[in-house]
Amino acid sequence: MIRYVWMACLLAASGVVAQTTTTLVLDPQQKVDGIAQSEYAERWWQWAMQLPDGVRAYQDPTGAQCGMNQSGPVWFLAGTEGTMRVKRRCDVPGGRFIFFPVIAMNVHARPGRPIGCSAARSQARDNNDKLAEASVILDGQPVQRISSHRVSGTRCFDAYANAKYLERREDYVPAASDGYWIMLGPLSEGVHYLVVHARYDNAGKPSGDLEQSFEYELHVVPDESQLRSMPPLSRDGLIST
Amino acid sequence: MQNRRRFLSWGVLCIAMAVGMPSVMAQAVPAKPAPWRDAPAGYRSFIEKAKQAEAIKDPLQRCLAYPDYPDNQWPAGLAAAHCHLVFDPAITLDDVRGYLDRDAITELDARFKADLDRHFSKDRFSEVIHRDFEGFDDSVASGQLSMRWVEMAPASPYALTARGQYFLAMASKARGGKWAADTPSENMQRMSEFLDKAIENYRKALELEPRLLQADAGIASAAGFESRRDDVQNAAFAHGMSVDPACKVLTATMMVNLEPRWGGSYAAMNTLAVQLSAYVPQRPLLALNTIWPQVDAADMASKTDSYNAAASMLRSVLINSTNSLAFDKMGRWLDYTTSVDRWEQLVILLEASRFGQGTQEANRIRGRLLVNLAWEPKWAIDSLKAAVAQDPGDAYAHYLLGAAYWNSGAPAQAEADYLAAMKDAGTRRAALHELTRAMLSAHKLTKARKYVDLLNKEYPKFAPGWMTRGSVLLGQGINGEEVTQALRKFEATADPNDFRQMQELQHVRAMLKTIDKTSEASSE
Repeated sequence: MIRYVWMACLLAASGVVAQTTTTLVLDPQQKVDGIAQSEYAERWWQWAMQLPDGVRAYQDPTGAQCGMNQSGPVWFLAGTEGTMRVKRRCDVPGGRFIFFPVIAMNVHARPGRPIGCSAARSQARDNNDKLAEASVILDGQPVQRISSHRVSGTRCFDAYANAKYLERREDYVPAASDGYWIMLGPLSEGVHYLVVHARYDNAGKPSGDLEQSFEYELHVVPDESQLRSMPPLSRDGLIST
Repeated sequence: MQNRRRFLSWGVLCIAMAVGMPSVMAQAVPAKPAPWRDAPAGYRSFIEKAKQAEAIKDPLQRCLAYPDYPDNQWPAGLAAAHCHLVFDPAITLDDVRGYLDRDAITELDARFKADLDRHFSKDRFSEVIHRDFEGFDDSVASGQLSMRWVEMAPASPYALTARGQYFLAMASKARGGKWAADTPSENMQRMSEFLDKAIENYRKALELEPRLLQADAGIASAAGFESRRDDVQNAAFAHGMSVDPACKVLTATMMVNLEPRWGGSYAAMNTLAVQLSAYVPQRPLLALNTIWPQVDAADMASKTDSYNAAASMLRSVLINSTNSLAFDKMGRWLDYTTSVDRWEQLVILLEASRFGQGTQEANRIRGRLLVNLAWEPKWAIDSLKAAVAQDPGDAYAHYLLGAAYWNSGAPAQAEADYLAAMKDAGTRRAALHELTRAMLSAHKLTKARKYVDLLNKEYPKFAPGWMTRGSVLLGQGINGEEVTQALRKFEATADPNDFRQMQELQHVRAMLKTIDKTSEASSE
């Protein structure tokens, strides 16, 4: 409670334009730049796996590297592996949509442990059918109906497509993604606070007890050059359903 | 006509039996005693005792029963102390999870404290407290468990040390194994962030329990990653030495930090080695550290491909210490020296396996020597299974494991590993050929046919493949022209430089002559 009062003071001081989560949170069916959120989920995994284990975005303890390998109209934020409760600070160029997992699974083959696409999809789905808790609070306002933000891939993909550090990338294919994801419209310039907590309750299954908590202090800063090159921000343009 | 076919059938069968299987690395189970019985006397005795010890299931008893390296001058009690250090029961992640699930924080701390007390006990001395933290590595399970433990018991020095271990391991993972100049800045930054967290947790632990040498060693190790933390490293080492000047783990950490590659010097390493030598009679485990200057010097020589010099430097180490990493390195480097006694190499790699699993390469070479030199395919299986588990992409290790299964009398089990070996162009043909023959041995004739079809299609100039085709066809009850065709292909492709193929060729030609005569007679 005290924390929210403090956050509210900060919001007032930083001159945040009034934006409500209702208007900021896109429906899961809405596309951005003509691309479905299920595809953004795949791109998110490819972004996360672009760096080797230990340096990945979801292992970032401070947020210092949140700008690594970001491109295009959508800015990715990372969750965790459930091994740390992190508070990250991140500078985000203005005008970007923000996409992040509330909680999600990526099941993929690995050397010596091949897996078929249907099995991967089934395993990725399994824990997400057992979501026990999920909350997302943006600037003190909770996002409603998280359960409606399930994004299940309808196909398998190559999560390590950008992983140049791997000698035999084919050993990691196929991959399947399933989970709860949020796409936010561009935030107003200034400081925003995002708090995410979620957990599965699927005892005995791999990652069936995954619980993650992470917070972001997002500093949305002007990025005129990027804005000039981006398509118009409207439901008819960049956002589509 | 029917009679002629029967004649041909028996004729081919007899010749196929006479020429036997084509020459390949893996062969049928030998009837004679294992060849290591003909090894030089010292090695033969060692291998015999090692084989007896391998039959012992309990890891500690196996280690204690294992033979000592021939002609060693190890300090008294070192081998047994080393066995206890590695194999005495220690607290596992599952144990910790069990206590946390029962909310038994006090009991969990009491168990750790009991092991810590043993570090300072004259009667029940043990360094098992260090191994209690070994499970806290860079895995997700370790990260999740250590986080949960610290949240449940924020004032537990053991929970904080476990958390420090996790962050230290993550720092190492982020750092990677390349030289600093070849490591991206983001890796170095991430490493530094994890090191901060590791040191913070270790420090909190030491405030609560100053005797926790694992935390001192952790800080020293973490600080050793970055030269800017030299003061932190020195302070941790000084504090730890004031608690116990003969702690094996703390002094090992410092010995590594003093390596020239990390900014230290051999002079400093030797000074520490001399200092530790005074304690060896009471604490023989320190002999694992006192030889480290020589091990590091040898390691540096190996990095410039001077394997003869490197191996030469390690010889005295093996005589004076049970350090399994030194045995592991020596066993691997001998593969690159200009002359090597394979029996000596096998004995060294067996001794290395006495105290732990070892490196992937060492496991693969030990497995290879057990299959090809000692003719102990069954014994080789554990080493090769470890090798493929450590690197599932190692096609040659899969190939050897397939051969070990087949030659152990379990040809059907060989299939998965031969298939894995076929993924690499270098081992594909041999693996596919042996896979075909293993399936034939296992009486899996449909599979044998599928694989021999592939073999003949991919490698039409590989003569032994055609001989194997004849065997598979006969096994399937197919005879006559198809078998004759396979033999003619063998005749056409046999390698004149291969002695065994030339021997087989003589039989095949005689066989084909008989077939042709019979065929002519039948036509008339």
